[in-house]
Amino acid sequence: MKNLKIILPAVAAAGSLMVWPAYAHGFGERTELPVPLGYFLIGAGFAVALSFLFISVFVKASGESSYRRFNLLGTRWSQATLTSPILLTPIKLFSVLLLGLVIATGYAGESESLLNFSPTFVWIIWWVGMSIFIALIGNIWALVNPWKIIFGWAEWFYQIVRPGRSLSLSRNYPAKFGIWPALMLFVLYTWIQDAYTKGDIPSQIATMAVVYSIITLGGMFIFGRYQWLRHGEAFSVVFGVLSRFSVTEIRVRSQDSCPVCSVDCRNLSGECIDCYECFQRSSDRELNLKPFAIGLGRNEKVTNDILALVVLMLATVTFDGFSATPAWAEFQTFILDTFGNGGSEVFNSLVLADTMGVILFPLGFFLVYLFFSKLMAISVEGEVSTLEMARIFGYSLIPIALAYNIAHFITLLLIQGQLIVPLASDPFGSGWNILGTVDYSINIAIINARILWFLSVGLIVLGHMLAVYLAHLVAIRTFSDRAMVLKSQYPMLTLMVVYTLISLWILAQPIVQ
Amino acid sequence: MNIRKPKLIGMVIGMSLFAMVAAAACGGSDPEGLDIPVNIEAREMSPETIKVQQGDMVTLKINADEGGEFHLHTYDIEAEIEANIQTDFYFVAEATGRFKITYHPVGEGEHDEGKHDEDGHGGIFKSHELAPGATFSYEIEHHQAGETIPFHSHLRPALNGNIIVSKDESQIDAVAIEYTDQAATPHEIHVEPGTVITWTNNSSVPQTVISGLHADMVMDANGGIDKDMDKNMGEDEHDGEEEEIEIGFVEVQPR
Repeated sequence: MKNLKIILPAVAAAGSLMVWPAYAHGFGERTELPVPLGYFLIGAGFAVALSFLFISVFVKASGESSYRRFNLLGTRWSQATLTSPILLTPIKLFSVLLLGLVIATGYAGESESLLNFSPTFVWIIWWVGMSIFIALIGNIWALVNPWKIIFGWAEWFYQIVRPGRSLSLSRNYPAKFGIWPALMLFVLYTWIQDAYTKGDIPSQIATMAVVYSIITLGGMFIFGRYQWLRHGEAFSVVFGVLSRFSVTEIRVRSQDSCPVCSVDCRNLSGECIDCYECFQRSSDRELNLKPFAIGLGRNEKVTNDILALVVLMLATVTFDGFSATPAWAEFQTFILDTFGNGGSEVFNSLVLADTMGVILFPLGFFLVYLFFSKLMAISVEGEVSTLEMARIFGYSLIPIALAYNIAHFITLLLIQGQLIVPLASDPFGSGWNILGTVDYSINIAIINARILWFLSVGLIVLGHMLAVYLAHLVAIRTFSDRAMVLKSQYPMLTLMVVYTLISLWILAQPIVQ
Repeated sequence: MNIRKPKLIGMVIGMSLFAMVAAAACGGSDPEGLDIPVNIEAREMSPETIKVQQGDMVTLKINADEGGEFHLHTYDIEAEIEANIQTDFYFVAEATGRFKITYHPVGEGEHDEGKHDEDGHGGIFKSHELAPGATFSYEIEHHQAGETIPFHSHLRPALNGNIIVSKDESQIDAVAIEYTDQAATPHEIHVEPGTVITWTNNSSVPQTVISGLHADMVMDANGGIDKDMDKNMGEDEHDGEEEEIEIGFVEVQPR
């Protein structure tokens, strides 16, 4: 976003008033009030108190990782409905159309961000809105991912034209690359969101969409559709992590089809969950309702690349909020003072400051997390190594980040998100009124600050509790005796309390940009 | 798995305590009319953060050492301030939140063309503040035949419309326009010289009736989209000709 802002005291005192474009989180104007001290203290108190309550009560919990499920595809009727092409094909078509519309409006539409469909749709509806939807309800991205759909259609068409041959080159994906390609792309995306100044300009969004389309379709062409979705398509990977929190999962019951799968997707308990490739090929499948967050505690092997992604996601969410606080504005001012305000429109000191944030925050997070992992390793007398500790407990921190993310973005989604109503009628900003909604005026009082504070603090405390529970579940599964489970959890609890307090603290800061 | 009990206890404790706090914080004072002096000197505003409570009817008494446009974001209300002349800036703090104020100083001779000429903003008619229920009337003059006169409420630019004055005489002599909270209805009226137009404020807050387009609509009068932010967003396209400075915030606390 490119609101103008002045860099406060230091520079103004020097007599030169500077106007800088500022842009936390891609696009959109924040209007929420800081959470008052009382709410902050109560939230913090609850996080600490409930943690200890939890520890004292849960000593008896078992490490069994099964949970209640309800299969939405359980009846013939529901299966026919939910998997019907009559339902799914229009959704897929619509999704591909939206990708086309983002590119078309980006290049051909009005250049003012607020009068163009693409910035509001991409940054607010798709990124913020869909992330929250996926984290709570389920991984709809696996269904609506336009690149997956397009490539699927292309493969189908190629089959007709040249029967028996596959469109993809199906090169072997080097296992050592893991999900690093997706991770790199996600770092770049994060940088565009939090540091790049032009991320809200429609034509730039269109270019990003085109470049990303080429990368994604190219990756699928070389390595095969599912290989690339699993390892290289940043959003499939990121949304996949988020959807573990949600109330749904897909599962393949009989694993006869799994060997056909390009990757052995079974976890350490021999279950095949959330593997979309197996799901598509299998006939014996489930779409389950499940308890919140439980998917983050699966019994599976976590590799370093996944650990890196989780840490990156935790850090990114926090940085997006932190970059709007007065503390960060002071850091920006410091960088400006140090390096001068020169530089081009894209590469200037302010971008430098935010770039440092995008890079240093994850690194800082990682070091802190490693430190606490080390403490955990010491507390169990080396039964598990430091890095292994970090890997197995990484997912359990996600609920805190997610709760904070919702608290942080809900106002933006509810207020600026309303822009999509008039924009849907006039996506190019050219005076159309397709749906008759162009005169819709935004209700800026849609959410009361008091409800928002209550919701924010409540969510974070709840997220904290789920995190403590998940870590406990993992600990019970990992360590041989109860004493070790408890000992290992004290450092983890401390870390979680710290992370929760930081999240609450950011919410209590006045937003300055 | 015995997660249920403690989670439930935790949630119950949490919810009840939060509810208590929320209830306690709702000290029910009534909205009031507030006059708040605001000074803009050397492009800095004092106070930097204007704090009001939800529902307050706020009049900012603005004094600036430099003329310009004062813009309360998201509420999307704008006022032109002349140097060293106190200007009243009225709004009803309906939405809670922290809203940015920007100031766009207008240098000498740099006034937007058309804004101050006769047909422009307030050049034809301009009401005082109309309390809910109050009315304002204006009689179309003969020299206005064939013209289209836009109007709006300066306190809520979404309330706007057009008066289309026909050349030929017919027998319409009075027309009514109603302000609601959402819009001015009818949005477009056809009248002829001599017609008396009466606006009735049936919205829940004070409004004004003023001829011309609201400053935000001058560029693109199709309305609808909240245009308060596009000035900043579109900075590149305008290549620095607009220098809008963030000078402070209005904080509307819930009551």
